[in-house]
Amino acid sequence: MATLPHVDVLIVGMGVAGGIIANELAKRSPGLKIVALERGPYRATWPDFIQDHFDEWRFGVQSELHQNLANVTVTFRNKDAQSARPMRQYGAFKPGNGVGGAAVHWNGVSWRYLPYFFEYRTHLETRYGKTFLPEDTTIQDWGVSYEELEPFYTQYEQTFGIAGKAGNLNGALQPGGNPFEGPRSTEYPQPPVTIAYGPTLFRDGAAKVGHQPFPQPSANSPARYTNPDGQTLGACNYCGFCAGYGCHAGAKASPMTTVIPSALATGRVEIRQLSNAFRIDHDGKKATGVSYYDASGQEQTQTADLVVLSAWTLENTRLLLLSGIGEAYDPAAGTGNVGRNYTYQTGAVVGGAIANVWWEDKLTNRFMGSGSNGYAIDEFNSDNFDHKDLDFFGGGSIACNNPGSAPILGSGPLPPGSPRWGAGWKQAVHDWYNRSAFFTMQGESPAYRQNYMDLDPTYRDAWGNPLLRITFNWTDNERKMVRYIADNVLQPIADAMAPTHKDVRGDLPDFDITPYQSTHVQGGTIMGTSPETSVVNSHGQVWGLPNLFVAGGSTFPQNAGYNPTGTVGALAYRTADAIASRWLKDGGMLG
Amino acid sequence: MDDPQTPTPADAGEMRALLHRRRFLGAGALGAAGAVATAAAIPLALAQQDAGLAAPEAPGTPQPGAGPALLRGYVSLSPFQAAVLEAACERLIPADDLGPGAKEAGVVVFIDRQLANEQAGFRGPYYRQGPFTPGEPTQGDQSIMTVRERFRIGILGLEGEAQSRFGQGFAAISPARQEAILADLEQGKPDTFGSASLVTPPTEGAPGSLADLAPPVAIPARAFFTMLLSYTQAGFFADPIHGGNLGMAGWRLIGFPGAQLGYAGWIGKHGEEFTGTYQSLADVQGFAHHEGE
Ligand SMILES: Cc1cc2nc3c(=O)[nH]c(=O)nc-3n(C[C@H](O)[C@H](O)[C@H](O)COP(=O)(O)OP(=O)(O)OC[C@H]3O[C@@H](n4cnc5c(N)ncnc54)[C@H](O)[C@@H]3O)c2cc1C
Repeated sequence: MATLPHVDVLIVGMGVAGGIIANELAKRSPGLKIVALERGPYRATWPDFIQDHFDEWRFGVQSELHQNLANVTVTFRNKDAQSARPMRQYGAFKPGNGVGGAAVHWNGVSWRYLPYFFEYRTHLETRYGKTFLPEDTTIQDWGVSYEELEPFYTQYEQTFGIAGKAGNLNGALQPGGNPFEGPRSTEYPQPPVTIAYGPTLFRDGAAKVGHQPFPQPSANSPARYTNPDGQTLGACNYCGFCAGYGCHAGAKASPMTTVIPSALATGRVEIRQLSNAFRIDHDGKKATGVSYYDASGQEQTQTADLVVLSAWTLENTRLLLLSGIGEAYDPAAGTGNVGRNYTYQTGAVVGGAIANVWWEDKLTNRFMGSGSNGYAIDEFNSDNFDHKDLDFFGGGSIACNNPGSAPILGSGPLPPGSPRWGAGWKQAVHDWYNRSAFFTMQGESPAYRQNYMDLDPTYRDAWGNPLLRITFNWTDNERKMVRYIADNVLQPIADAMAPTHKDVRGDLPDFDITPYQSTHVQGGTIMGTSPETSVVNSHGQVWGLPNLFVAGGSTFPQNAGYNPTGTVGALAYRTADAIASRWLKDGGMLG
Repeated sequence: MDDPQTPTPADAGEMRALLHRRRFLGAGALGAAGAVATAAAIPLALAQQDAGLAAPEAPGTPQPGAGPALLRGYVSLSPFQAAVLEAACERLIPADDLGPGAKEAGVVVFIDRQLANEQAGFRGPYYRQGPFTPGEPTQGDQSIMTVRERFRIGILGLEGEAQSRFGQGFAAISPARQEAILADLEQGKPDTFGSASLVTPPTEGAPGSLADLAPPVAIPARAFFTMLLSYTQAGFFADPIHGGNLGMAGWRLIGFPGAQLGYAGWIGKHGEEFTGTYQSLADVQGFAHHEGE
């Protein structure tokens, strides 16, 4: 095994969180030598995405940009009483794999979480009393407030050139924006993208029944935009090949179009691609470095003063477990925290509150679009509506998006009763593909005692290390939530849109890992105010190992009814700031 | 230090220019060599229709401005297997007044090419370590069997169902009978199927006998149907560079214009029909079988 020269900072996983932290530290602390390990390849606008990305089979269906499941996957079961099986192919979620992480091929729906969501348990217990929450829910406060995060949300939005309309500027409500959002210190850096027809029909329908629709915030740059780091995004072409694809126009904000080129330009960041971390080395008091397999599969050990783990939810959790860091969560004994509070979201395609509408006389051109190209309403997100007389808690953002529906996966859905094949199917796809719209609630997934991650006792990755095992199912709380929203919110909006056909659903069968739903998977290394109830503090610092920071959605105590990446970005900026301004000087646990 | 450089981000206009240049170069360099004469008369004819050009005088006649006609043929399937699949796929997507069906659109060529990659499943990379113990439906298929193997057995099953019910092979029975078999498979009838239901060797006059197929092997019928439908629709709708969707027949059926650089000028025109030219990634890359835009 080769001995590699010691470095100051070692980052594991070069996605949104890792890219932001690398860039901030490189810019702000010029003395640091920074190395990043990334298991996937380095792919950029040029030479990669510019020429080959309009291919649904290769990228949309065969998932070329995602984690190679042949090497590493997860195992899954709905409950402890079952035995887990590997997810052999995609798959509910699609982890990223490559420099830039999953945001290379994300949609770009970019939210801030609601202010009270950072004190969710306190908020709900104060409003409804201590007995309101189901006994088995383990939601908790984060240990950081919206006010503390606001400047970092702003920094993330400026850097990624987010396009939207503010609903609340310094406490003053703004027409046309989201009236429920937390106060912003400044407007979005770019105006909303040009929004396709289907979502505007949703906007009109929602407004007609009394809601306040607003443009869904988007990381698809509507115009050429130069960010505070001097990085320039191209203008979105609305080509419709967005989620699952790299952007040919350099218009999708991702680490590869923003923070990573900026970090590399400092000359102080080295990215080792095709380098797969398998252990955080430590002596019980501090992390000493990381052991990884290099591009040819050989074991290497890189020592460092500071280690940042930003390998996304599943690998963050697995690497802590593989390294014996923290105590593994045991749901029966109620001990340990690593692996606890695994959360997901209801809603995308299979289970959840979902509405499809079709019009004989309206051409919605679903093939055009950009990843985040829609209108949303927030009246039924989280605790924005009164749950006093309801038998559930939580909710979600409701949006109609037009990301571009390529036809292998997106020729449907078809009106109820349409045949699945044969001449009748052919007629139906001919009639309805371009005359439809789809809207859904992105439903909150609270944390529960019985939903968690640990190491699988049987299945291993290509290098022989145990896979991560996910034990997860919905509960009656979410079943009641999606039923209520479907019947009371989606139905009236669908009717107000005056479609020829509609199909509104509010079912939530057992969680099924086989169809794609969303890559919004959180928890496992959650943050909090004490080592008793969390793995890291609100800066992502591991309790007891002050030179190891964890960044990304694995630190979220529970999942919101929003896409997560805006908050991943804001927290990463806050972590980088704490390291640069305080930890590098003083070390130790940050208060 | 290995320092991968990102180019200066270009805006859409620059990207577009670069793509056009690439396409022009591609078409020039490759097109000049002349189209290869092949038996690919159908795709070429369909392609010519796309461009509104006259059909070629003779199959394989080099077309001005066209890139090389690509050779078509089966790399994974035997002629018998291809014939059964063609018949089955054609029932799933039949030719009718709305346009070509699966057969004419080259769906089986698409499937055949996918079968050459033994590692992939429908959704791409496949975790292939044991144990391979069946689980709950929510945990997904756990079989080690490759897609190629599933097709091989499923084709024998289709043939066997046709022989045992109707006394003839699948490709020879009427469309209505083919449909009846497929509709049953969709309902899980029979539960599993494969070589066991074969009555005679698959191809009349073929050397060998039923014994060559022993021992019997079977797969779940409903899962095979779902897989067949997924691959058939994928072959109908995937970019023609993958071998199916000839003449962009699948895209034309539903109104999907294909590999477009974008719709910046269209996205705000609500409810208007897109009037641009449909194009394949082949057009974008300069392997133009007709000129886009
Ligand atoms: C199709 C799709 C659409 C999405 N759309 C949206 C959206 O619209 N809005 C939104 O908010 N979110 C969206 N997401 C989710 C979003 O991409 C993630 O929330 C975000 O990328 C998470 O950032 P991260 O830094 O935590 O992880 P990532 O960006 O995934 O980065 C983690 C990196 O770590 C690397 N890595 C993992 N394990 C190892 C290891 N052992 N050794 C070395 N490197 C490792 C990975 O290869 C990866 O590059 C989408 C995701 C997908 C897949």
